[in-house]
Amino acid sequence: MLFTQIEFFIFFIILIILLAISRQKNDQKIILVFASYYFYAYWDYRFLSLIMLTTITDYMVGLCLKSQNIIFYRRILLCISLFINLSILCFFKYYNFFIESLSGIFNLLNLSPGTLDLILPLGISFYTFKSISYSIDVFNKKIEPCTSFLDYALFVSFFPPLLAGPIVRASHLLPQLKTKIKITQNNILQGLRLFIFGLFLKVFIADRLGLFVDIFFENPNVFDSITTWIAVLSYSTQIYFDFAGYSSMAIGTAKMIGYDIEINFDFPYLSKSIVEFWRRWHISLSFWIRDYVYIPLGGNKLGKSRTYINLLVAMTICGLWHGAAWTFVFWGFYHGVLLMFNRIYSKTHKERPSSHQTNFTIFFNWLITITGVVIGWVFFRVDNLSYALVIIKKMFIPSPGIAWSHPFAIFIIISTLFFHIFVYFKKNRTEVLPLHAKHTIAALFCMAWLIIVFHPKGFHPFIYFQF
Amino acid sequence: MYVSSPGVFKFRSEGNGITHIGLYGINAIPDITKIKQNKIAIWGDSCSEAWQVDDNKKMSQILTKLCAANDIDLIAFNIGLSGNNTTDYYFSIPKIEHFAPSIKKHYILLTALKDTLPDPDNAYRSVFLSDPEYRLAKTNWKPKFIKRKAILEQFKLGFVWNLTSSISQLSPRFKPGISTQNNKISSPEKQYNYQVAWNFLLNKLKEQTDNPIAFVYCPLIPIIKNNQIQYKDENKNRIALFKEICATHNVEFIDMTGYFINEFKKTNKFPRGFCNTKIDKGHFNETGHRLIAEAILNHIN
Repeated sequence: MLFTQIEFFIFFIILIILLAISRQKNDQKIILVFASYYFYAYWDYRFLSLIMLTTITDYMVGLCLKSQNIIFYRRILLCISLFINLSILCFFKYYNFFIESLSGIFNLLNLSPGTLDLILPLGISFYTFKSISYSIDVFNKKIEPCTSFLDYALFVSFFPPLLAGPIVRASHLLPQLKTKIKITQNNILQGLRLFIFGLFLKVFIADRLGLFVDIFFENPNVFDSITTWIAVLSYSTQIYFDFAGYSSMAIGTAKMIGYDIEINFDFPYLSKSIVEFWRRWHISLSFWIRDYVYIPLGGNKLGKSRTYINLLVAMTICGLWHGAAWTFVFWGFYHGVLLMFNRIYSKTHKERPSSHQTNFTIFFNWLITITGVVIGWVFFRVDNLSYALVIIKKMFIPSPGIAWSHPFAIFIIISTLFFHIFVYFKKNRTEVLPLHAKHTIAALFCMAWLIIVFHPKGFHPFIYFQF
Repeated sequence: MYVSSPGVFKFRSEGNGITHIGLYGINAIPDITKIKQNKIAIWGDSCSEAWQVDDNKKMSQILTKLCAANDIDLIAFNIGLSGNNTTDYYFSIPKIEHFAPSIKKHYILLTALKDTLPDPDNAYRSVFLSDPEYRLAKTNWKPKFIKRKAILEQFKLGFVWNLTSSISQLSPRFKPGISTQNNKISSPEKQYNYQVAWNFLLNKLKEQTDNPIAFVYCPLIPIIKNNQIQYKDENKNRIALFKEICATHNVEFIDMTGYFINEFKKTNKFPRGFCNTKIDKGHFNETGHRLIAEAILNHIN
């Protein structure tokens, strides 16, 4: 079920009513668990078994870790959790990728393992990482294991962030599940504001940009340099609004129910360094990679060379998480290289705090960062690396071709730029649409109207569903 | 005969055009019955309706100006409705000749070969059938919405119609499902004896008017496909056959292929498509309308 479907609105209204009239905390949780399973089963009920397997495995591992103090056995329990979770993820997501990538070696060995006709279970990357983080935190004794199966089942299957994030940490959500849900007017309004805003970003902006972007990226050879820049900037905007829109809807939906989920995007295109970018973009994933890949590898504690290797490995895994294709791997590696260079530069040039930097320095740092990020999106989007090289060449060497100045794309690029400038100079970013301000109501009404007018007739999946 | 209601129509979702629709659904001419000059009718579907460009950029207006500039006493007008096929022109030609006398020639825009073939998958107002024998027939297409829509539009409430129409098309599903792979299997192409079908169709068309008829074939090329510009028309062989059959019936044939390709190679402009939709596909843009008008003028000369 998608947030953009009419079925979701009917489902959610019924859910809110049921939660509001339920008196008991456990009854509310049971309703939410069943609602979450229904939400997932709407897409394909067969894959509910995978969520249940993940839930049962990590719940049992958590309980066993609670009573087990011998480090050897604790490690075995953690390995069981990691093995089961990662096996499921790797099988469904990466089996065909590895078979195809290693086909040359298989041929040399006279082996021919064929690829399988697999459906990628929706949200598998997200709920698997969510559950793994629980097991690791319990192993490291950062959190107490969850003793209520109902709570844990709800934690794993909680539907707002289930399909495309944010990757919610157990330390953040499990404590909230201990209290009774209160459906309050303030939560409904706050959640609705976030939901409408997210839906607007997805339906009105991202989907419509996609119509132009898709044609360009299928045929980059034929267009000229200016069109190439418009298309690449459009994609950078599309992916941001598609994903940030979904996150906003997920956070808003959770808020309406009464649960808080941490923000996943914090104006990443205002970043003045690549390090800052990864603190603002897909925050839940970047922090997950930091806490469960980069730091366990040694982080920056084992010397310069090892730090750089750790950065490259962590970011390559981040790229691979996004998709089973070499373009994603390369994108992750590319960001690892950028982070590495940023680290080298920071070590050799002592930067002044931003409050002491000149406007030119701040602007220059921003420009370098945004250019690096935008180039990275080219690798992220293309189907093969040769197309990426064609596009990047056209971006920096003037090339002739078909000129296509898509008016909506240009309007959105310019509007996004101005909106970010406005936000940058505004002291309190959370007050862009204050809850009780009159302009908020007018803005939300306009967004709602545009959503209705431009509601997609066909199916436009969220970009991050493919991950 | 179905026609668009008279009025001013602004179209923004593809291109950017304002169309002044006159009586009998004819663009840019308030009342065709009052024009006594010799006329050329340009028939077509939505490509002739041409909502995407302003009136003065439509092929009929450009052709009228070109004729005036070349001392040719002719007024051209477009008569088109979205979804039209050749069978619709069969039924409509006598009616238009009655309303608009002094028509000297009929030009029929041929944008898709399927508009000349029997048993189409979607035919609105009339249809070319092959079973049990070839025949042209009117359908029972009488959508109830026409009156309701007209009333709403009269009170500038057309958006209410669009909204209710969208809602009525919703078919919500609440049952948990099974996801399926996107393996599109295209239905096999229907096989016809093209010669027999086209002979029949052209004979019938010729029965409806004493005035000469000409087809203006508008291929989909040039087009962006597989990361390059494609100039090859996949219908080339069938169109050649259609052209031969037209010749046997004294129906003239203008092939826009050369015009479209040459213009693109000279100016990098496609005859179809708009910057706010797809740059190479869709309805004719200003370039396309101009080229068709020039081709018809060359043909007249």
